[in-house]
Amino acid sequence: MIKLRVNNKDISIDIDGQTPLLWVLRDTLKLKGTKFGCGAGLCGACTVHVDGEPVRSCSFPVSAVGEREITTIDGLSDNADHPVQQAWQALRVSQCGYCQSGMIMSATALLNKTPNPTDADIDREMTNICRCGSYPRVRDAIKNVARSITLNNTKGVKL
Amino acid sequence: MSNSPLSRRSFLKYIATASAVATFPIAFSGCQATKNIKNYTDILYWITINSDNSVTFKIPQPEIGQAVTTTISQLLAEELEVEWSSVKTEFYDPNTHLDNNNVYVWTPALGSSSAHYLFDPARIAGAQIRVMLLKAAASLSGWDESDLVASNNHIHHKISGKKLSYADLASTAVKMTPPSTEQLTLKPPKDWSLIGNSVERLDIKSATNGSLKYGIDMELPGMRYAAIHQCPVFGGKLINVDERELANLSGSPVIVRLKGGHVGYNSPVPEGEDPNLWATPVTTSDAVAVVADTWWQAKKALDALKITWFEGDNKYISSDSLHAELSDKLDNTLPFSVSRGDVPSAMQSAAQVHSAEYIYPFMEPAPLEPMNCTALVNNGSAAVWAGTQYADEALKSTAKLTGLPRKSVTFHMMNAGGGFGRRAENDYIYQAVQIAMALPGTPVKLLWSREESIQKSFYAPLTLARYEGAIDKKGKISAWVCKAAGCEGGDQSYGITQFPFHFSNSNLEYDRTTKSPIPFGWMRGVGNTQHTWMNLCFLDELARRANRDPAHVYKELLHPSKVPQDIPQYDIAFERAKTLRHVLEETLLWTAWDTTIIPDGSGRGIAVADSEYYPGYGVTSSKAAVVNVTIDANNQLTIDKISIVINCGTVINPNVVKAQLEGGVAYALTNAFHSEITIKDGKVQQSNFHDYPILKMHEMPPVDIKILPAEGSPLSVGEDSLPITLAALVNAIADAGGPRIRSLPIKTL
Repeated sequence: MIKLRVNNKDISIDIDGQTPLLWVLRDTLKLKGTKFGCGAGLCGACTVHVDGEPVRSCSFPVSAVGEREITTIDGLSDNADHPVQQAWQALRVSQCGYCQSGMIMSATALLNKTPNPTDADIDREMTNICRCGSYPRVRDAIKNVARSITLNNTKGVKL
Repeated sequence: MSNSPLSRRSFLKYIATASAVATFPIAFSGCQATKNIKNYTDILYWITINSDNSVTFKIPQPEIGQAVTTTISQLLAEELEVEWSSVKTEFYDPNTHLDNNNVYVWTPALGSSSAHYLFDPARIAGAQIRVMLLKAAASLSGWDESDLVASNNHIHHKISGKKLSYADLASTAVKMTPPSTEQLTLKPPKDWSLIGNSVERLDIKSATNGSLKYGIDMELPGMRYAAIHQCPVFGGKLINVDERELANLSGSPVIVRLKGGHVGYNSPVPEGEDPNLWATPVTTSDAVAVVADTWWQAKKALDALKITWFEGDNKYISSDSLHAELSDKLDNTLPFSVSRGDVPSAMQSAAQVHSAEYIYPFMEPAPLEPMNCTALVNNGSAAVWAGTQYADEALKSTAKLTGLPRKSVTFHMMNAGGGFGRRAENDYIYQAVQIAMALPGTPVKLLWSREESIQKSFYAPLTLARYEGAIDKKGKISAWVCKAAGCEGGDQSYGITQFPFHFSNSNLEYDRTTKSPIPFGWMRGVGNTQHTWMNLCFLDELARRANRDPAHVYKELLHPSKVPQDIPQYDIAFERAKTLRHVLEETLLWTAWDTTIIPDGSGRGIAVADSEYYPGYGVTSSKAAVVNVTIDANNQLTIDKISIVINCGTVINPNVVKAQLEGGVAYALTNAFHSEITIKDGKVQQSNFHDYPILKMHEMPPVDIKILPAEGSPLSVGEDSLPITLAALVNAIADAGGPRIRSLPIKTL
């Protein structure tokens, strides 16, 4: 049995520990928000947070999670109202939308670590592939969130 | 035979069908729509009025990211007079479409044509239902119809101030005779409140919280998962699978052997046309699938199998051998040609003659969601769930494969994680049904790995073109010669023949007979991408050799007086030149082309094009691109900015248009810098995003877009920024003092 904590829920599953976390999330736990794109950690569609760190779950064996907490796009907010999600909606970032779960998880991890990222920070950390080419809007949305963090922090609100 | 996906004739047929929406019998769910009943009333197939007074639009197009769900809804809602927040959508049912003589008018997502083809029909459908609701209100209340007005999902009585909801009226409205199109008055553009506005995409929330359902997300009780490995050499045969490994593996894996073959076509083929020239036959290779409890278990089991293939003669093919074959063709006379004037004399009297060869490699469309399909075959029925660009064909080929009557097959359209032409071919749907037939009663989801998706795709063709141009003593281009051949399965020569620039002496020769052993398919921009890129780069070369500003040469060539009087369909050619010249002039003004001084080490390129498939096609936009670049002392290229100007007719949703054009730029830059499929021993050598990379964030330059005010039917936007971006980029590199790029992808400067 492998014990996991996913989106604030404790879960026990009987599964081969070598199974990539992605397939545990998608096929065993039926959390379909996290997407499969390449199976080799190259595109980032499968990005989830493991203790807040962005991880490419297609290439991350479930046995390696240990005690750490997993957050997926399905658990990022209750009503698609996380500040990053709201920024995405305001700029209509998505086209086909398939990469956006991973994009949003990567962007959230970036903003948690670097609340006011430079263009260079965004270039370095946002290595997810968007085949539709939403990159200019992803960049603008990240900057909009950064601006609102700066504003909100003066009011004591945290991301 | 015309060279395009849809002939003028069939276009007229589709439009005729649009007006015939009025004469179809009304589909009625059988339940009265009242406030107390949760069922709904279905009117004229396109629209359902729900008991809570919301409306559901059946979108007769696949959603592949182009926002068609939103834009078609804007058209329907505009005329139906409903609140945007009350709009829900679902996808059309191909059976309903085919049963009713193309009731949804135009259903495949091909050629960036949905807004164009559905602009009138969707508004007509909305208006017809509005009129029926008005009549229902008059008949139920005794009010005079002239005192009634429709707005916000209600019919209002102007005199009493009372209102009736659409939900209350729907069950009466469905019994009304739909008005004919002649009796309808569509809203004039000045009264539009939704059309022309950047209303929020209907799927934007679900796309940001993971709840938008794609084909890959389909789940059914008792479902099993399939992984697939296809013969890596195209057209190869399966000889043997050693199953012994399976016994020790988890997930109860079972093997299904799939026979390859002809699956259907990737475009509608108009009656009387040769499908093998018009569209492309879709074929699959022999394959082995493993079905298990989870996809990961299926994949592990598949990887453990020892599979023996008979690779056939295609194993001797390489991209080098195909290149050599095309090169040989170009050394000889090609089967098709179009000539004007006297090329040999112009060459002889020229001040300068210049020639060049251009090469465009095989490319793979690579939508991010790998190919997948869920299928369930029972005794006497079948159901399929998939994202596709061509659902009608998927339904028909499933019926054919299972031997079931079409109406015993249900096709459920799913959102697609990108299409870009790849999902015009329904090979993966066919395979999923083959697997489900081997496991009757068990739903099976087939999912390809990325490696299968790249190596067993349908490819943009390897294309070669040789150009020769003459510049006369006055510095004018006096002759234009283009000879082109590609590894095609469908015709892409329109990129050469429909070049909107005319020369007094020209010769265009092309080959459309080479049947490629490498499956050919649509890829965003199709034949216009490679040929418009080549044409506009060679034209730029000639302009520079004549020491002239390429933009001024374009402007001169697009002067309506340059359109030859004796050209077939002169009026169309004249209009094209006029529109393109206008777009070019606007571009020069907007980018301050004539007043900007470009510093050393920097450069700019320009390109202007439409993407007509044949004279009078009338779907494609006129557009121009300016690309600004800098090349530093270490030969590092930076793209400073890309500016796009477009005339795309009426704009339904400006934000969506901009997104499509930005996306097209990103797609073009991937083509420019990364995309190259090579073949060795009959196999695709690339396998995943490490050796078939896609543009990333750090490579994306700023993009500025200007949409020119225009009227009339909406025109294409999905494919339009591709060819002009490619050409303007390559021209900018030359302008900045870099090399003249004649072969993609650009590897080093």
